[in-house]
Amino acid sequence: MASATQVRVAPERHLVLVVEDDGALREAIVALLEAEGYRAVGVGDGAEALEALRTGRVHPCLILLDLMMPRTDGKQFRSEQLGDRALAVIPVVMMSAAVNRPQVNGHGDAFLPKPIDVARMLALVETHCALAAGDGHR
Amino acid sequence: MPEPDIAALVPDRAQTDEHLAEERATTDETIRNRDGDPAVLEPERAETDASLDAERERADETIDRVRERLAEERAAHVATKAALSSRDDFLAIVSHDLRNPLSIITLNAAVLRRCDPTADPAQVARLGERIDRAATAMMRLVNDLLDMARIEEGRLQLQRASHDVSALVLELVDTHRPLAATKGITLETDVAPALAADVDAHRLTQALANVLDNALKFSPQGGRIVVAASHASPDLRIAIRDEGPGIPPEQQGEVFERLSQLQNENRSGLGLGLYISRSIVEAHGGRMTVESVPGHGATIVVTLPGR
Repeated sequence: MASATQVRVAPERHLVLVVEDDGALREAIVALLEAEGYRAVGVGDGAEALEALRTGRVHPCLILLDLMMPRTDGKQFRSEQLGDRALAVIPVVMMSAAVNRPQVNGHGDAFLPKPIDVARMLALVETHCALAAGDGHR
Repeated sequence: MPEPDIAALVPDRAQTDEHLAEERATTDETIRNRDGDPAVLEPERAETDASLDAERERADETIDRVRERLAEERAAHVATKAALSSRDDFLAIVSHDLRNPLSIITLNAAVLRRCDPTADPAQVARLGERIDRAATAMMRLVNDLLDMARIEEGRLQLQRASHDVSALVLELVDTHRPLAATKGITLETDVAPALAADVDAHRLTQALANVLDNALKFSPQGGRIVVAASHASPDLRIAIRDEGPGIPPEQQGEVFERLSQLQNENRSGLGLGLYISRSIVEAHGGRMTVESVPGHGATIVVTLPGR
């Protein structure tokens, strides 16, 4: 099981962790990723995401992270994640409906504005999962 | 010229001395007076003091005015800042509430496009339903925002006609039965027959639907909602009672306020529903009140002028 002190387990190729509090949106993202041939796991907030990662339930090649969530929001998740050596390396795409882009800068490896542009989301997933998997194919 | 008789001069001298003494006394008195005899100086001093006081008063008034102005400017600045930040909060939340369902629509449409012709019809139908739900949520929010703008600009117009309010209420309850069933909530009615009133049927239904939606939202699984309508001569009284958590007394005044949910972290909407409902009821010349004991549900009472 992965923990802050252990060597990181290699990410599961093509597994995306979707952290989004809006159930219908989370479901839709997961459904599209699955239709594209990825495996996707959805959780409702940052705390759930940290738990899934720390207990080793998921080893994603990418995290799609919503910014505005109750309980542990995107920023809190990100600071916890970056403080945990085993988790810090997992690339994060921050998703937000925020009006002001600067509000989310520096909190992820990439930014995906809402409403979600399907082509852009899939391109980001493709790029990051391919990089994390160490090859150009998924 | 004979030598002046010194002795003869003496009386002169004495006279002169006397005169001089008198003069000196007068002078002394004048000097004394100038220095401080209140009888002479007081009127003068009073005059000077009065003019000084007047000047001081004018200066004080000017300072007060400047201070007042400054306080006004400061208050205006604070109010503007608060308005701007609440406008920013409002925009952020509205855009969030619109962008999420829009994302749901585009994502599910993308999934639908990827379905091959042999796809399970049930799955296709499910995707269609999801798109439909998200579109309906967006439509509701947009309509509520437009209504809010209408109300604020005093443009909420009613098309009143004689209607059977009993029938309107029963019909409304029936349209909410499927939603109630999904939560195992019992919808009971206690509606007197043929309650007539001059109302805008569409708007009144909208107002009552918001109240009923709220009751469903806050009702526990398996709870009970009672919708009652009766004559309260000369008015009509419609009451919707739920078994939800109720509303604490200090919040009862706020439930009909515009955007009452905005500051609520666990909000599930903007808090426009009851505000719109009350505005509609008031446009009919009616009243909307809340009765609630925390822990024992809430009753929203609509009173409409009867005929």
